[in-house]
Amino acid sequence: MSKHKLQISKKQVVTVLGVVGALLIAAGAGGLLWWLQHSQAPQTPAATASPLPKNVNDVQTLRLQGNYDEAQKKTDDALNNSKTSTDEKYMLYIQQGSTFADQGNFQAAADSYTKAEGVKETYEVATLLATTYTKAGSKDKAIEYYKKAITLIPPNYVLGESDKATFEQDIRNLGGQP
Amino acid sequence: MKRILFGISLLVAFVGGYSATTVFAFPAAGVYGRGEYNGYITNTHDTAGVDVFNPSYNNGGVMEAFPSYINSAGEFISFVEGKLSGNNQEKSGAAFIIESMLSTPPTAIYRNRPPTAAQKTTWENIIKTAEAGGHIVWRTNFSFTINSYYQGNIGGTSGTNDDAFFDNSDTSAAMLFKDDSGNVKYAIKWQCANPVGNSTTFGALQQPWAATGRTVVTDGNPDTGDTANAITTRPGDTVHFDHYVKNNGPAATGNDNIWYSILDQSNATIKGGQNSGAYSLNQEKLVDNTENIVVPSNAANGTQYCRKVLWSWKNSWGGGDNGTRDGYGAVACATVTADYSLFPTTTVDRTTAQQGDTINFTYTIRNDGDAASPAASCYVKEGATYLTLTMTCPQSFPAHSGPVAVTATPEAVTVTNQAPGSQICRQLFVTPASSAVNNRGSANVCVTIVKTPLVSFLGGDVWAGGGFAAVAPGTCANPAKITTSPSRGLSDGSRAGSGVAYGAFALDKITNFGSASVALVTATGVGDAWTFSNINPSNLGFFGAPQHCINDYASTYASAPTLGAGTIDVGGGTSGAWKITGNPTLHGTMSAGLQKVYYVIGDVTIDADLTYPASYASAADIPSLVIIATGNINVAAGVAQMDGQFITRGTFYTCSPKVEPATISTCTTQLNVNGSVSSTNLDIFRTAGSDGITPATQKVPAEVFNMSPEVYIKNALNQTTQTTITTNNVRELPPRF
Repeated sequence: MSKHKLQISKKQVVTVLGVVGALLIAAGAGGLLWWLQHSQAPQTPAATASPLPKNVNDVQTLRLQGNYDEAQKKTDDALNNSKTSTDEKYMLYIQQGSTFADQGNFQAAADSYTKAEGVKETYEVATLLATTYTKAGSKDKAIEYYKKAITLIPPNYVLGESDKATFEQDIRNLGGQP
Repeated sequence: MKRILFGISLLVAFVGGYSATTVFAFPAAGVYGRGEYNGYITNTHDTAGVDVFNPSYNNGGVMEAFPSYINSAGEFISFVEGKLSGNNQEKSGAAFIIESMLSTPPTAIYRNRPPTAAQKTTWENIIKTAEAGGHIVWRTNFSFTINSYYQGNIGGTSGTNDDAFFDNSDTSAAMLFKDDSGNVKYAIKWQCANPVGNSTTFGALQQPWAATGRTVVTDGNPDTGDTANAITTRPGDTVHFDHYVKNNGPAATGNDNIWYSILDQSNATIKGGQNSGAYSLNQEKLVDNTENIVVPSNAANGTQYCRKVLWSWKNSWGGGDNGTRDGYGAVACATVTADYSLFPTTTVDRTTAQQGDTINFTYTIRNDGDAASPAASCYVKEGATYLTLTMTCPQSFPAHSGPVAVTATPEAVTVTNQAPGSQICRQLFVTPASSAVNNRGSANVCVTIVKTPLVSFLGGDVWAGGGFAAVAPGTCANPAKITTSPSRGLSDGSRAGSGVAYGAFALDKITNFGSASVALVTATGVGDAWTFSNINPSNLGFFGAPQHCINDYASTYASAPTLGAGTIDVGGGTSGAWKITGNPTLHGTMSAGLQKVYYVIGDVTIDADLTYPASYASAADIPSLVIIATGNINVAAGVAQMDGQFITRGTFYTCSPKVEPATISTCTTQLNVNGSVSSTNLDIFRTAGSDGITPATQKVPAEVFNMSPEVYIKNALNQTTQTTITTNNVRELPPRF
């Protein structure tokens, strides 16, 4: 068996990057179109359903039934599956953290939420980390994440102002300054 | 080619980007039938708002809309219903939560603000049902894709004042409500009291149910007054219980099974502990029908057999089965009626009796009660006197015994010299008669002693019917009856009755009157040999006489010398005929050989005996007295003998003045008429005779009409004066028995 060295030219690299960029732009354009269509809230129900991804829903169901071991196993299996999307991994880390939280293990829960944050930094995970650190007694961390959650509140979120006010009060309750 | 592939890739990327973004789009059918940002109550589209309830509770540093202590149905219900009295934001939020939790989309969605009282009650029961079923998780992180908000500002002073759902993916602490299968059907964020979920939630929570139970008792012998749960039973009956449990809804029991037990109320013991399974709406199950109790023969009166069915839960929010059945039905009882009730009865074979008759008293006791009696005593009294009879008492009488004779044979009482008018009475007593009645007597049964006076016609016939030819045309065809009391058997086998020595004739019916010197036994029996009536052709000898005319001789003496009315002694004087106008009174003894005819236009009273001499020296000495009256002939009570011929167009009274009703003191003297009597009516009312204890005395008649030979030998009516009696005709007569 002989070994062949892969030779890639600069032009080819530029072409591939150009194609990938075009595809990303096209996908982004599709998403933008959806957002534009739905940013004007509909008078009638939308045309499609909105379930959680199946893996996420299954894990949550197991967790809510108290089957923590099975929930963790299914989470691990899904996280180790290369076909699992990034968004699903994000949500699975959140379920993993919630499973630990339900068992009173707030540090492990914070670790899982941090992994989710590593996948995607969102208002959701910032809030979860804030409340988890609050329960774990880590006030500074909690204040830090409340402040981060405030900055991550999605634009046009109907409850953005309410949540901001609530988190600011939470920060004050923890001895911080919003 | 490369350009084409690139174009296709761009299109795929565009579609993929669009589709990936729509993963969390709002449900096509909306949530509870409302589109995104459209108010739950008003369907108003409004994209601005705040939390459903303000996060006003500091729960360990975290501001939340619910106080941290809420971890029970009662606390949650109280908190939410308390908001119904808050500001607009809170009122709308509470109604939003209650009405949406009540709903069973898509078929039944409620939108009342505020909720009705009935809705509040049902909602409370739904929450309690969820808690009882372990279907509430009070706090856990919950990932959702649909959030909700209040369409207005804090406090609800501006804005739409409604609550709406919108698309929002998040994970937050929530309280979860599951259905009977464990699926989350409702979630509320602790932070803001916003109902949250995704397309698999927002379904119907387990609806409540409530069960009832009943017990039916029977014994196979329905009694008046028996009901489904209260009956009367008796020793020997089999008491049976059927126990039912029913789910009255408003929903099926789902996964809830109803367990039941049977409480033996009488002995305070619980039997069983069985699972009767789940119930559909309004389903009723016969959960137990196995118990049959045979009431012992010695069961005490008032003994009760009581059962009731217990079950748990009594409803879906019953709070769990800890072994105690919290539902129970009405108790059903069978009450033993086992008392005895003795009733003495005295019967007699006749209501009247005459001296010499035998009266038979029968004594029985029956038990109408449902239990056998103890050994009961019995006795017979005659008035205040206790009689000594041989009786079967003391003895026990079985339940519902029917009449039981308490003497081997009826008590036979022979009437001796008890005076007519007196009574012979008997009364049977029993003791004890029941558990509540110490002594009970029968009716006082009495037989009245009576007499049936007899009349006897000797030496001739009796004729009834027809009339005097001179009275009025046609009277000779008048029908008339002969009616006397029935004859009776006597101790020697003979019979005592009224009758005639020879023939009895009537143009109408002859009743109880014998002929040929024999008392009539029956209408077709002995005693009618010489009876001739016009009525019955099959017996009593159908005579068929068209008429019966006799002469009253009134016209014969219409021109007789007159005599003043008054009291006339027929003795002495001379023979002759006299006409008297008025109402004379006659008595006296005819002198030998005299022949006298008194024709009276009026009534005649006989106040003392009218007699002939006791003996005659010759035929010429035989006297003859004839009294003819156009009115009545009234014979006074003390008259014992009347010799002569008596003719009256009116009535011949043997007891005058007539007293009705007659008693044994009325006209007690026997009347003997030696001669003949012709009258329109014959009223015989003497009470003499027919008494005593021997057949001879019992046959003594009250009146005797004796067709004496003087009538043939010497008769004033035809002025017969022969001094010798000659035999010029001999005729064989039938024997008399």
